[in-house]
Amino acid sequence: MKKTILAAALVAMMPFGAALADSDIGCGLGTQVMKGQKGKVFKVLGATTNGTFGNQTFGITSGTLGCDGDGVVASKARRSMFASANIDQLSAEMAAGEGETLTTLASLYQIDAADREAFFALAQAQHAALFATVDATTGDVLSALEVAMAQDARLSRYVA
Amino acid sequence: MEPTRVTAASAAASNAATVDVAYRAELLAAARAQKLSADPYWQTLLHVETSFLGTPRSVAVSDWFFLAPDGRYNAQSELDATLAAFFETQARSPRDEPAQCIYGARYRWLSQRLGFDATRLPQQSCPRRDEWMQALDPQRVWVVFPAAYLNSPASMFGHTLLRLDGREVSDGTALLAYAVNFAANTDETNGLVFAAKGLTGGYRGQFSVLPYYEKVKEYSRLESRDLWEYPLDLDEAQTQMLLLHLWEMRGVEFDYYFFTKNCSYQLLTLLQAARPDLQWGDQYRWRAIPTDTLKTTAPLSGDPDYRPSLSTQIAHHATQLSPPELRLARALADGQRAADDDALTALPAEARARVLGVSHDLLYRSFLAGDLPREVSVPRSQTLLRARAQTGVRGGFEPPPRPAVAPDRGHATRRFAAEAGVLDDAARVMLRLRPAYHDLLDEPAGYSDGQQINFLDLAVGIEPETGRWLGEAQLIDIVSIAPRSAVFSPISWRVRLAAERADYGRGLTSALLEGGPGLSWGQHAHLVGYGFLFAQMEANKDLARGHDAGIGPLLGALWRPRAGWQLQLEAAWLDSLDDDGLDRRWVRLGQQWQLRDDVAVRLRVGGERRAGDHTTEATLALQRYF
Repeated sequence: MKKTILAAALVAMMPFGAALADSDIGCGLGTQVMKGQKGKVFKVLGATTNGTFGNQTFGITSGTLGCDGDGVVASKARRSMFASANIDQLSAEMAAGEGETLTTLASLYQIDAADREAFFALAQAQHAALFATVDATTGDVLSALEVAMAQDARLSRYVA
Repeated sequence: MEPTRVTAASAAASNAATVDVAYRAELLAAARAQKLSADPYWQTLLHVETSFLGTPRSVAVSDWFFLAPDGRYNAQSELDATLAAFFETQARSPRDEPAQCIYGARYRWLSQRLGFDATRLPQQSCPRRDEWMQALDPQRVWVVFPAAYLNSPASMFGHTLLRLDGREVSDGTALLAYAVNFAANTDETNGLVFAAKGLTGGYRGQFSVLPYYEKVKEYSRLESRDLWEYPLDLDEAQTQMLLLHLWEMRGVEFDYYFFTKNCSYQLLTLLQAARPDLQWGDQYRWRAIPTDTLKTTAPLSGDPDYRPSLSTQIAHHATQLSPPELRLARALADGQRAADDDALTALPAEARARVLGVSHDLLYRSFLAGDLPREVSVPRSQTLLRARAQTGVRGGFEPPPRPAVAPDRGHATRRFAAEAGVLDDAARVMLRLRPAYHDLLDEPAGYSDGQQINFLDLAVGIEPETGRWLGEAQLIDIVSIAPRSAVFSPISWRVRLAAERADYGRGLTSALLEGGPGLSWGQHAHLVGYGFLFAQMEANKDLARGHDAGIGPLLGALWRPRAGWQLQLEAAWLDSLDDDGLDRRWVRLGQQWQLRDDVAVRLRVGGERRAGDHTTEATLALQRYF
């Protein structure tokens, strides 16, 4: 209980709560698949989500800007934050070779519409290499993806 | 938060040298002459409302938000103080910005109305706000409504939020948008405590801005609620006003009430800063239901997009598998079979891809629901996805179709009825009002199937022959009929709390609490059958001990013979747990015909046997939704 109060007080003191639902490391590169879970009690009793659990932000700390907070929108940071927050969905969509999350990742790599199909096919073909271990982090996944892109004739220019 | 607090005295002292006192007085006088403090738009920016006692006050409660000491209650002194503060350049606590930068919407509006002379009232630079606005830079604004989630009728009261599409958002990348959310500040995880405090104003709410994908994840996947996204017609200037006002609201706390001053209501007040023509009168004084607020914004919103949730997708994808394939998918998700199972490898690649896709979604859903630990689900998930990727088959499913009727097109949530009926031989007429929300005989279009929530159904009437007055009050009546399928196995449930006249003894009023768990099968579009283990507790002075409890089966069916016609049949056998108690048996049939969008006829007939007494009842009701 004391711990909870302390944690709540800390969150309240942070200017616009840098606290995210999943506490990520750095730009979120430490996130592993299947981290978030709310559980049954929430499902049954959570009649409404008009309440929010201590993560009131104002877009400053959670994704508008790079995670270093210096005000520069770093696309690499944006990519890793997005991938980190959606790693489960990405894994499933990469296996299926299509989907909104994967399309969004493609756009964060600034991949032209003409090359998207190649990107989707690559992600699907490389799935085993991208998610090589059960504790692969988002950082591992994106590095492996960029290595694979670098070796692809059509996609190498997006990671150059 | 910030160590320094600018007091009025120190601000005046340090400003004295630079402030154009004459111009300040001129502006104050001009604002008074134009009666700007009484302008509805000024009231909008301050979030002024008239309380029950008739006194206007702002529903914002953060002291720092008001520049005048009595600014919360006095729009004129707040206007005076605002104009004066615009001449100051110091950063104000706790926002650490000068007034011009904090109160951007006030500044722009007052500047438009009074024609600020930039040489006498220099416009200050606001780098933090500019940076924030440039990062968001909305090209389009949407109102987003998460529909109720399966088996939770209370979630129909739901939520609304805004989606802001920045320049990054193009076709297919809506996830890069931002969400504007109003929510109560709480760490409460106990839903009952949350509800109790939320009802009584125990929380403060505030706006937040966060990546839209966080909200999509929360609603579509964690909670499995379909999302409806309504594009809003806002031009560039209106969108700018929306952002400026949102920045004003940054960190401002509001009184939060679950039914009235909730997320949907505050979203309207935020939108009103962008579109002053958005009006709702007194409509939300007693309750602001999200779908009702969608009707308020309907004049500025276009045809909505539909974003099916994880559960909706699973259910629809499952229909694209054959029964043996679906069994295989479930066995893979449960771990009873492995990805190298012969039954799977024997399938053609397309079918294999579909089976693996559904099996992984089922597994993921179990994980999110807390049914499977991470140590089990992660390795299994990776094996399934790896096998899925190896098929080389891309996609493979038809997406779920959009429901024909969007939530803003459902019936209005208030219902008034004039009823005429007979109880045994006594004729009766009644008037009935149900302020919210939806029951299983109401027209289901636009609502979540099988989910009923009636709040405060009140009826008064008279028996003309005896001159006896009648009254009924139902506090809450929730029913969730969630059919079981080859994919999902939900438990239906119901609970009801009511006061109604007993048909035994002296006919006193009984207090009733009843409900229980159940199972149901079928399809809501056609026919659903259900059975509950039903318990009823009753308090009445005419009962032997003053109270009684009965338990037994309740069986029922819901049938939609065609659009605009619903039937519900229920029968119950309750045996009293008390030797002296009263056993109850009843059969009830209700049906409703929709005459117009807002008018329906309902016929209820029923028979009940209690302690040897039979009663029969028939009632015809003309219902108006408004």
